[in-house]
Amino acid sequence: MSHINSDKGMDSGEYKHAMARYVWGFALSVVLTLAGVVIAGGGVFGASLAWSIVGILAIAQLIIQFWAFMHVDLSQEARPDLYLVMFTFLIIILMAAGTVWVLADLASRMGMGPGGMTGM
Amino acid sequence: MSILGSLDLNDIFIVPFLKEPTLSTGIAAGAGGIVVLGALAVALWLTVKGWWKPLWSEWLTSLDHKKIGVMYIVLAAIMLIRGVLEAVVMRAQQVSPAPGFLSVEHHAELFSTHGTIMIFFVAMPFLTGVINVVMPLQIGARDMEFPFMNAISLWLSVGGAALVMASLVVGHFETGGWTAYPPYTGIKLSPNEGVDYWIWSLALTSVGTTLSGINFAVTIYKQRAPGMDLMKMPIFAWTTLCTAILMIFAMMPLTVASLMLALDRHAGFHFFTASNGGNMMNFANMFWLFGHPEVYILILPAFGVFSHVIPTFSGKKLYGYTSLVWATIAIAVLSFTVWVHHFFTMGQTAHLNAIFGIATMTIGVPTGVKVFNWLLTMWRGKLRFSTAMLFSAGFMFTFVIGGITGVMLANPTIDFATHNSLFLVAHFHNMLIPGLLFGMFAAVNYWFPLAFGFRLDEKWGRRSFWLWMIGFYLAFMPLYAIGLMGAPRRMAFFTDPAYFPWLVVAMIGALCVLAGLTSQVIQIWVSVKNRESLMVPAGDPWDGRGLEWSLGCPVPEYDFTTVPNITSREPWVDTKAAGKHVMDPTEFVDIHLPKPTGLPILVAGVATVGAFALIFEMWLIAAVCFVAMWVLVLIRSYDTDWEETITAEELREGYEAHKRLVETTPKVSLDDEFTSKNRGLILEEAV
Repeated sequence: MSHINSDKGMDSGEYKHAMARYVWGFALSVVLTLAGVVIAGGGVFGASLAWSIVGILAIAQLIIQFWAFMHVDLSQEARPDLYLVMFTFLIIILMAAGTVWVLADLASRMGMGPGGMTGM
Repeated sequence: MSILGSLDLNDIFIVPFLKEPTLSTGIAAGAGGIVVLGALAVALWLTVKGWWKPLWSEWLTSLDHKKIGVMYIVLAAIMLIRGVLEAVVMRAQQVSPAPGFLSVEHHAELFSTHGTIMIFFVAMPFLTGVINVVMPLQIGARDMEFPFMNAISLWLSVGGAALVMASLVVGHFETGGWTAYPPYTGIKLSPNEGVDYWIWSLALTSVGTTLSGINFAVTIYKQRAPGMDLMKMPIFAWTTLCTAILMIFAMMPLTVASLMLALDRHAGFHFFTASNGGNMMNFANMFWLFGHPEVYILILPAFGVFSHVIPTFSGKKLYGYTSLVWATIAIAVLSFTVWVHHFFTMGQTAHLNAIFGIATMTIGVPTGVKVFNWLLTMWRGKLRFSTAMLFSAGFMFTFVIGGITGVMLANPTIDFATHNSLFLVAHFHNMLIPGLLFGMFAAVNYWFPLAFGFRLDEKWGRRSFWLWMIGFYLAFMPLYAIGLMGAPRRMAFFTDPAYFPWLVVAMIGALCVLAGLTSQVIQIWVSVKNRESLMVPAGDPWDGRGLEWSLGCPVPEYDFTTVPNITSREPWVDTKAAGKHVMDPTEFVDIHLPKPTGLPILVAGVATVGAFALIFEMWLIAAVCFVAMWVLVLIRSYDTDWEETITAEELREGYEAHKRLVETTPKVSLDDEFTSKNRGLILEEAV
């Protein structure tokens, strides 16, 4: 991404635009991280609600960092990158959720899952 | 503990035989002897011929994708010989009167190395090699995106293979099959170095494969010739792209699972132990999260090969390009959704099994689409049965039978009855021998001139095909039968006399396959000897359709004199239709190619020594090697003088020379395709 890192061959408008994207990305990341810390440490929400909110904040930050720093957005040029990112998420979800599903299912049959022997 | 860790005299291959001479220890000692003597003989031969220096400077240190590809295929060929020999020994064991001539442990080592070698050190290097040679030529690239990393991948794979070979000479391999399920492979039940051989040879090669996957995918994304959008790519490039993506994602669970097993064995962890909170079922789960996509890593490149061989030797355009592309993509995605079918019997609930069973049957659909694509390509074509085409036709016929038994096994209720039986063994050999080996054999016969400039001998090629084909049916159809009669896999011997006649047939089949392999060795030998009459310097010896056939044979180091502009799916066919035999040059510019370097061999060599040290618990040596490996990589990072330039003038001269050669080469008709009249530029119309 040499056209972003150097100002050669880039007029000042483009440069400002690219710079603004980095600054926005950084600022939003800081805000979202601090929000997560406050929610986790604040004790205002119950445990499970706090987990969910922090999880959502994490995903939001992931998307923002892809947009601001990796230049993955909805534009036509970034489409192949976007597809790859989406495919990666699909595979990770398949593997992680699949593993949890299989192992929890096995555990329930072994009488060691949630509920223990009562599940039999 | 000494610096040599757990290594002692009894680990040296000849010692057990001297202490207790039986046929089983004798065979083990003989195998170790073959490795040692073979290595010495090769070294001696190279010294006598004075070939060390050219071998080093032109091959081993090369970063040229074609040479790296050829070296991958050589690795695969050497390991294939060992794998087939092991299969023959196992077949002989089972037709001998019980309990046979091998000890139970020795037989277990044989089926474990056979599986490990065939998957990781035959199949993987073979397809990686073919991709390396062909894919950049098909998309108009001059090299891989990361040539240095490409060489690292190669030498890491060689290092892993060297460890498996070393297990014949020093110590033992594991006895738990190629899947190495704990708790049997845990430290309690497998206390010797065998499982560590498996773990560390796989660690080396799986890292190499992951890097290859990244390299292939980035090359396809970034290096395509101008105008070649994704839907204009040759099918082989498409299947390579999907395979590369599978490599990137699927090798990871294996690497992680095997390293977790290593932690269990040596660091007191409890990931997969039977007690203390371990869960060995997660090993099976993680292994097959890798293992099932792996099946499609193996098979997709072969699908790509057939998609080029069949149109070429049918004289027709590939039928249904778009549907083939989408079928490939569908297979790549679905391959991540079916892994549970490898352990239906582990104890999940029936509905979970049913869902994965249905997913498994679904994946048969895009595969079926492809078979129809190839059949319809052949339909009403003018077929020429070259060796490559014979292997492709043999594949289609045989693969469909394997696919049908696969859909049978996808049904959990049937799987419960056939699980771990020889029926399963027959099924996956029925997929992988045609679906991988036949594809790669076709690829070698078809694309050989690109790398070496001459065709392979057709007579011995056809003989090898028939021996492989007949040998396959004789060796594996009986296993379907006795598998259904109840014969379990991985047995050292059977006592049921009803199996015996079937096992004899299978033995004959194995010998037939061995004869097929021998024919291929002879084929190479004869072709090298007669290379003058088999030369095709003008390129395009089969009336080919892809961009790779627009180049002279052998392809020069820089591949393309100018990168072509692509406007259609078959630019070379268009060029020939316009009556031209050289593509119009675009713009001659200076290009930069990486200089040869010995660093990849050093990096992988140090990594291999380190892995060997880990196997025998020589922790100090392992630590030193680990540091040395990264120091070498750092040295490379500071090397600024790594490119050499080929000037536009040299490229122009290369182009003019090729053009003159093409103009002076007499054009020959298809009828003379397999004769010495074929010097390249074969044409459909008689001239």
